[in-house]
Amino acid sequence: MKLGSRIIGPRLGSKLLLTGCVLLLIPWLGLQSLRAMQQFLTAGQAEAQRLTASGIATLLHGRRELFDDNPSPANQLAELPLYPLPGRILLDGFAEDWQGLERHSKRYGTAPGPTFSLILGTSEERIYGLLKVHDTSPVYRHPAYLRLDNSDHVRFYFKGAGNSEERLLITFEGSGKTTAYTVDEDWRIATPGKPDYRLQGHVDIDEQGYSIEFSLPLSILGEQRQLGLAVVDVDDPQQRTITHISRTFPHINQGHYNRVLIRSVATEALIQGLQKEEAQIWVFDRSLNVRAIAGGLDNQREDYLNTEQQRATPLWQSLIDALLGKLVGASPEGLKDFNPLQTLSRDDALLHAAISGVGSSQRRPSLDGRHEIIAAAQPIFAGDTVIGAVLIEQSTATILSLQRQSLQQIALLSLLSLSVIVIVLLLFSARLTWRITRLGSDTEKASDEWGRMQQRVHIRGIYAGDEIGDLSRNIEQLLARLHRYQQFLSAIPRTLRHEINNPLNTASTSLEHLQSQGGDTIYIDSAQRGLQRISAIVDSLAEAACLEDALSSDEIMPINLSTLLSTYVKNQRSGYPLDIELTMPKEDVWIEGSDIHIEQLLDKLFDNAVDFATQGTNLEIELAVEKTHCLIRIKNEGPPLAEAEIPELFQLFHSRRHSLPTHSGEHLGLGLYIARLICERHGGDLKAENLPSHDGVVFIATLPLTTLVQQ
Amino acid sequence: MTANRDLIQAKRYARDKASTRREIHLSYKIAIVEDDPDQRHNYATALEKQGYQISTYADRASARDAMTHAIPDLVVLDIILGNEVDAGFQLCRELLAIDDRLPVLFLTERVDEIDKISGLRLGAWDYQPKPVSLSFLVERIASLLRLKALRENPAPNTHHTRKTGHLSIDEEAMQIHWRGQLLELTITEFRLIAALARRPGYPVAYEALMQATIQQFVTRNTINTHMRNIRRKFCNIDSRFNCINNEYGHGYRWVQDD
Repeated sequence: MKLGSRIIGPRLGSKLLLTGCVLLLIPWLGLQSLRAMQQFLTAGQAEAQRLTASGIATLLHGRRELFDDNPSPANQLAELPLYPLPGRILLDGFAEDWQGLERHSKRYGTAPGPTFSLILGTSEERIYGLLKVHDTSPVYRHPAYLRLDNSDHVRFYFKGAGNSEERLLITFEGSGKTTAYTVDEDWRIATPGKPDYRLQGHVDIDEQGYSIEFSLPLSILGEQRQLGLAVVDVDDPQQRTITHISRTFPHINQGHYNRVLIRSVATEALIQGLQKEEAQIWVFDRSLNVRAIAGGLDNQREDYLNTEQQRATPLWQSLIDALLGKLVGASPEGLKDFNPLQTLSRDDALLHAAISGVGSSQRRPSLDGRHEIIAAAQPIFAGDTVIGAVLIEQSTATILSLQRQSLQQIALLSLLSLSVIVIVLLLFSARLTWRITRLGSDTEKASDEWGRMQQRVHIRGIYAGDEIGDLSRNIEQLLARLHRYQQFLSAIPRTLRHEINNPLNTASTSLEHLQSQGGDTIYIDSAQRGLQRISAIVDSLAEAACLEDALSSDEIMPINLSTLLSTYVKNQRSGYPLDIELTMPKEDVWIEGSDIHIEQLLDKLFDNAVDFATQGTNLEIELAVEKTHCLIRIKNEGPPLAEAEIPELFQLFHSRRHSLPTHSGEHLGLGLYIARLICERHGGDLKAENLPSHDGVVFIATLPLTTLVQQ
Repeated sequence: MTANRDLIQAKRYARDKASTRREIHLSYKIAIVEDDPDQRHNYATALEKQGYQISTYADRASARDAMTHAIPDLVVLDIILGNEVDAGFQLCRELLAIDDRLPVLFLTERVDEIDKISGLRLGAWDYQPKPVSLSFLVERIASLLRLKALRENPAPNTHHTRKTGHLSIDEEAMQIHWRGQLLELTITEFRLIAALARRPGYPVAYEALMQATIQQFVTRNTINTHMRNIRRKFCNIDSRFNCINNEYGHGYRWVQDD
C-alpha cells in the first residue's frame, strides 16, 4: 500500500517556470537603455533649442525699435490687459465661452458708485469684452427720450487714428442687443443720430445687475492704443439724472485713458517665418512682457473626426497606451500648455536669467502635467545692454513618441519571445514531467504491494538518449534483474520438489523392499510417515509458488457461494468436534472464480480457526453482501492476535502455531499466505481482526460479486 | 463412515485385480531407463519378483541402441537422464517411431502438469510422478500389459461392461464410453471415474479418490487437477456434461443425469 508520506514541494514545471523568470531581465534591460537614450536625446534637443534661440536672438540683435514703441507718458498709464482668446466669442451676455478667463477680470469702481468687473480679449483682429455691472435697480433707456444719458449706460473712451479722441456709448432697453452711438462731448446726443455698428454688444440682466458682452475691431485703436470704460448709473426712473460714474482710468481731464497691452505686430511678423513644428517661439521685452509668439505647442485643434477615432479605439489599445505611457512618460493625449495669462507676460526664472544676460535651458512639465517641455532662453542684445529675450519651447513628445514606438516594439518582441519561451518551457517541462511520471508509474506497476514483481514489466521511453532515457534503461535493467532473481527464487520450490522427488522415490521404494522382506514394521511405518511429510512440505511449497499459474489456467466461472459454503459447512460439521454456526443472506451470492480454490481458501481459514478455537466453543461463519463485494467472516473464540503480528500474519513462512500446545512442527506458515493469494487472485483481500471483546479472532475474506448476469 | 468404506473398497479392488493377472505376464520383457542406480535396482527387483524379464539402462544412447535391436513389451522411462533434461521424451519419440504400439510409462520426478501433457501427447500410455509405490507400479504395469494384450487380440463383447446412465465402464479394457463415445483416459483418470461412478449420487471422499489413483503421495490438489482434466475430456465430447459435482469440504460426487 502506498503511504501518503510523499514530500510535497514545488513540482518540476513550476521550478522551471520560476527559473525562466530570469528572462524578464531582457525587457527590463531594454527599458533601461531606452531611458538612457531618452536622456541623451532630450539633452540634444535642449542644446539644439538653445542654438536656435541664440540664432533668433542674433536676428533681433540691436532692433531696439521692436521693443521700445511706447511713448513715455503712456507708459505710466494703467494697463488694460488684452488676452489672446482661443476662439471667437458669441455675444450673448454669458461668460461660458471665455473658458474661465473671466476669473481674471479686473474690478473697478467704489461705493456708492457702481462697481463693475471687466475682461478684455482679442481674437481675429477684434477686441472682445465682458463687463459685469453690479446694479440692483437698473434704469433702461426710454424710447421717448432722445437724450442718451437719462438711463444706465456704458461709455467707451478711446484714441483713434491720429490720436483723435473718440466716444462711443452703449445703451439698452432691457435684455438683448445693445445699441451703440457715437456721441457728443457731453455724452448726451448721438452725433450722426444713427447707431454705430462698429461696437456690438448684448446685455443680460439679472437680480444682481447686468452683464454686457461686446466686441469692436482692433483697428479703431490708434497707435497709442488707449481705451477707457465708464459705467454710468441712473437710479431714479422718474428723475432720470446721473447719480454716479465709475471709470477704469483715474482722471478724465488729462486726456489719457488706459493703455491696452498688446503684442508687437512687427516682431511677430518677423519671427513668423522661423516657426517650427511643435515648437513655440516667444520674444519678450525687458519687463518680460510678451512681444511676439510664433508657432504653438498645442498643435491639436478641436477636431470632431479625431474624437470619433479616439472613441473607436479598442480597449486593449488604450490599455497598451496607458501602460506604455507609464513606462515612457508620454501621453497619447494632446498637449495643453495654454495659459491665457502667460500670453501677456511671463515670470520664469529662466527668463529672468536671460534678461540678466545668461542663456540657458531647462525642462519643465507642461501645464496639464502630462507632458514635458524643454525651454531654452537667450538674451537679445543691443550693444552691451539686454533689450529682450527669446524663449523656445518644445515638447519632448517627438522623442517620447519615438521612444514609445521603440518600447512598443521591444514590448511586443519581448512578449512574443517570452511567450514562446514560456510555451516551449511549459511544453518541455510538461514532457519531462510526463516522462518522469510515466517512468514512476511504470516502476510502481512493476511490483505489487507485497513486493512481488509482476509477470511482465514494461518500462516505456527506454529509447530516449537523454538522462531520463538512461534512467529508464537502468530501471528496466534493474527490474529485469530483479525479475530474474525472483523467478529464480520462485523456481526454487519447484526445482526442490523435482530434486527431492528422486531421493524420496529411492527411499520409499527401498522401504517397500524392506517391508516385503519382513523388516520391523514400526520403523518402516515411521520412516514412511517421515517421507510423507517431506513430500507434503515440498508439495505445499511448490503449490504456493505456482498458485498464480494454477489460478490463471483455471477456468474462471460463476460460483454460487451460498451453495458452496453450505455444502462445505455441512461436510465439515461431521468431521470436527465443534459446532459451526452459519449465517447467510436469503438470496444466493454469486462470485466469479475457481471453486476448488475457494474451497482451498475455506480449508485454510477453517483449519486455522479450528486450531485456535478454545475447546468447547463454536465457530461462527457468516456470509454478508455489500454493494460490490461479499464478505466471509470466520470467527473463533480463542487467544487474540498481537496487534504487531497482524500485518505479518499473511506473509510466507509466518506461523503462529508455535504458541499452540498441540504444535507439532508440521505447519510451515503457508496456509494463510496461500489463503491471501487466493483472495487476491480473485480480486479481493483477506484481513484478520481481534474481536472487540478480545476473546477471539475473526478472519474476513472479501471477494467481488460477479458482474455477469446471474441466471 | 462413507469415506472409510470407500477406502476399503478401493484397496480390495486393487488387490483383486493384481492377483488375477499374475500368471499371464510371465514372458513379458520390460525395459527400465533410469539414471539413478538405486531406483533402477529397486524397480528391477520389484518387477523381477513378478516374473518379468527386466533390462535396465542408465542413459539414452545405450537404451536406444539396445532396444533398436530387441524391442521390449513395455518401457519405463525417466525423463531426465544424466545431463539430458529431455532424454526421456526423445527416447519415447524414437521408440514409438520403431513400434507405435509400444506401451511407454513415464516414471519421473517432473511432476508439472505441462510435462505430463507433453509426455502423453508424445504417445506415452501413462505418466507416473515420483515418488511411486512399488506395489502400485506393479499394478500399473500389469494393467498396461493387459491393455496391450487386449488391443493386439481384440475379443469383442466377451468382457462385461458396467452401465451407469450414459456412462459405460469396461473394467477389463479400461475403457469408458460416454453416450457411446470413447473417452481418451489415462489409467489414473480411468480409476478415478470408476471409483466415482461406483455409487452414483453418493459423495466420494478425497481420501478414497487418493487411494484410487494408485500413487504414493497424493494431495487434494492432485485430485482436483485430475478432476478438472476429466471434466474437460467429458466436455470435449459432450458440452452439456455436468455429472461430476464438487462436494466441498469432502470430495466429489457422481450425479446421475436424467
